[in-house]
Amino acid sequence: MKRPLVIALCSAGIVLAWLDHQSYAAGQARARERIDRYSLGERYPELDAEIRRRYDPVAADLKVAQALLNDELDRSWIGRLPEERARLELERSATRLEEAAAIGREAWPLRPASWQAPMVLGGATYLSRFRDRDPRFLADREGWEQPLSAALDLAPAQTGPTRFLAAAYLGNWASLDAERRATTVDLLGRAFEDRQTFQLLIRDWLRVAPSRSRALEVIPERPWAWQILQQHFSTANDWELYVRARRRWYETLATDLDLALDEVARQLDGGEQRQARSRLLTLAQGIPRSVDFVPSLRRIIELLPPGPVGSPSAETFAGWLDWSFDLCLRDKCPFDAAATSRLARLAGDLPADQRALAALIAGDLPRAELIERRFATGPHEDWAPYHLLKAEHQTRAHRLEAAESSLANVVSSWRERPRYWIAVHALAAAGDDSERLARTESELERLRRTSWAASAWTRREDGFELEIWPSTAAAGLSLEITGAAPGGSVAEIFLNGKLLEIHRTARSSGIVRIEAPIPSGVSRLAVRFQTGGSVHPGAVQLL
Amino acid sequence: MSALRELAELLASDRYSRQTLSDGTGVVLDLHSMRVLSLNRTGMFVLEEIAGGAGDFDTLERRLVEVFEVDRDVADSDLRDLLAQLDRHLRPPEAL
Repeated sequence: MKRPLVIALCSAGIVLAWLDHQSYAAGQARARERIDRYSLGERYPELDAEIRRRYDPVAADLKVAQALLNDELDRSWIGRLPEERARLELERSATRLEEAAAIGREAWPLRPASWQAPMVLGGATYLSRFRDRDPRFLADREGWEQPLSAALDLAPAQTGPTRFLAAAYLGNWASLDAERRATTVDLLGRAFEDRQTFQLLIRDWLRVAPSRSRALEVIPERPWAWQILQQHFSTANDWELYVRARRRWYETLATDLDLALDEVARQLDGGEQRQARSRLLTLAQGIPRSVDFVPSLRRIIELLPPGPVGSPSAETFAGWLDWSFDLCLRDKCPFDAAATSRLARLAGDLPADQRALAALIAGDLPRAELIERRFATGPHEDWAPYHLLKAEHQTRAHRLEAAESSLANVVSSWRERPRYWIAVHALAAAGDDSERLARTESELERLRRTSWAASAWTRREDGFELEIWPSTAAAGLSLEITGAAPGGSVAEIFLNGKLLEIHRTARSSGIVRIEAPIPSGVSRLAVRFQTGGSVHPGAVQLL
Repeated sequence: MSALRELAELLASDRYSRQTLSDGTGVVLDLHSMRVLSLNRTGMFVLEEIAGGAGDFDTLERRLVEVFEVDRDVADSDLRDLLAQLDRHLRPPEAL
C-alpha cells in the first residue's frame, strides 16, 4: 500500500476515534447535568456508574429518562422531603415528564429498535396528559398509545411497556371500545404473569371486569396470584370469590411446588447447597398441612441438606409432626420411619411425649422408652397416644404383658374412646382371649354412631375437631353450622387430614352436606377457621 | 416511477428511521404514525438493498440467491411476500 494512503487512513481513523470520544464525552456531560438538575443521584445512587458504563450517548440519555419517568410513577419520595423542597419537586413534576418525553422523542429515530425510547415517550406523554386532564388525552390517544404499543412489540418480554399500556387502558376503561377492551384483556393475561404488575393492577381490573367469572379468567396459574386474591376478597367480605380463589390456590400450589422442588434438586446436583437449603425451608413454610401436600413435604425432607434450622422453620416441622401423629393413631401414618425421624430432628425442642412418640413411629423403641422413663410420670392425657401406639407395637411383637402394661398407662379419659378399645381388641385377639374379645367387640359396638351431637366437638386453636367411629362406611355426612360470624365466613372441613370442603357461611346457621366416602374406622373430622371469623359446628349425621 | 424506487425514496425521507441489529435483523420506525416494523435478516437485507438503489425485482432476487444460497423459486416467493409486506407497512396512506 502506498505510504500516503496509509497515512490518510490512519489520520481518518484517528479523527473518527476523536469524534467518537467527543460524542461520548458530550453524552456523559449531558446525562450528568440532568442527573444533577433533577437530583436523580439521591434516589438512584447507581445511576451515575451505569451512565459511565454506557458508551452510547443515546443509551445514557434513555437511562436518565427512565429515572425521570420512575420518579413520576412513584412520587412517594417527594413525601419524604422537607416541606419547601417537596413543594418545589411537586411543581417540577410536569417538567420531569416533559424532559423524559423529549429524550424519548429524540432518541427513538436514532435507535428505532430501542424499546426504552418509545416506552419513556409513551409513558411520559400518557402520565402528563392524564394528570393535566389534557383534552387530547383520549381524542389523540395515539400520542401515548402508539409508542407504548411499539415498545411492547419490540420487547414483549419486558414488563414495563405491558404494565404501562395495561394501566392506561384500565384507567380509561369506560371510554374503550369493545375491540380495545378485548385487547386489554389479552394484555392483562400477559401483564399479570409479573407479580408486581399483578399487585399494582389487580384492583383496577376487578373494579372494571365485565363479570365476576370474567374477572378470574385472566388470573395466571400461579399460587401467589390466588393468594393475593384471597386477601383481596377476604377484605371485601366476598366469600364466594374467596372460596374460588382458595381452591385455585390449592391447585396451583401443588403444581408450583413440584416445579420448584425439581429446580431445587437441580441446584443440589450443581452443588448449590446453601441456596437450595434456604429455598427448601422457605417452601416448607408455605405448605398447608393437608394429606394432598404430604408428598411435597416428604420430598423437602429428603432433599434438605443437613444443618440447623431457625425457629420459624422448626415450628413448621413441629406442626407437621404433630399433625402426622394424629393420622398415625388412625393407621394412616403419612410419613415413613426415616421421614418421621428427620421431622423430629428438624422440629427442634419438642415436648417429651412427642419425642417419645416420634422415636416409636421411627422404629426406635429403646430411645422411645428411654424418654418415657425419664419424663412420663404416670397416666397423662399428652402421653395417651404414645402408650396406645406402643401397646399396639408390643402386641404385634407378641409382647403381650408389656402391651397390657402400656394400656394400663393410658389415661382414663381415653378409655371412653374407640381408639383405646381397638388397641384392647388387638391385644385380646393376639392373646386368644375370647371372653375379652367379645367384651371389647361389644364395647366398640356401643361406641359406634350414625350421628354426633354438637357437644362432641373439641375446641382447638384454629377450629374444632371431632372423632367419629361410624356404624358403617357412608357416602358422606351432613354438618350443622350453628354459630357463624354475622358477616359470613369461610371454614375448611377436613377428614383425616384431607380437605373435603371449603365452606362459606352466609347466614348464622345452616347445613353443610358433604359427599365424600366416610370409612368405617376411626376418623377425625376437623373444621378450621379460614377467614371472616369463627364458625361453630353442630350436629353431624352420616348420609 | 417503479414501486421499488418509491420505497427507496420513502426510506430516504425523514419520515422513516431504520436500524440493523448485530444479528442482521432490524426495525423500521414510521415517525409519523409511530409504528414499528420488525424484520428478520432477509427482510432487513432486502430493505437495505432497496435503500441502496436495487431498483428492480430481478436484481433483488439474484442478490437473495447469492447471499442466502436459496433456490430461485424460494427467493421469488419470499421476495414477493416481503415486498407486499413492506408496501403495506411503509407506504403512507396518502402515497397510495
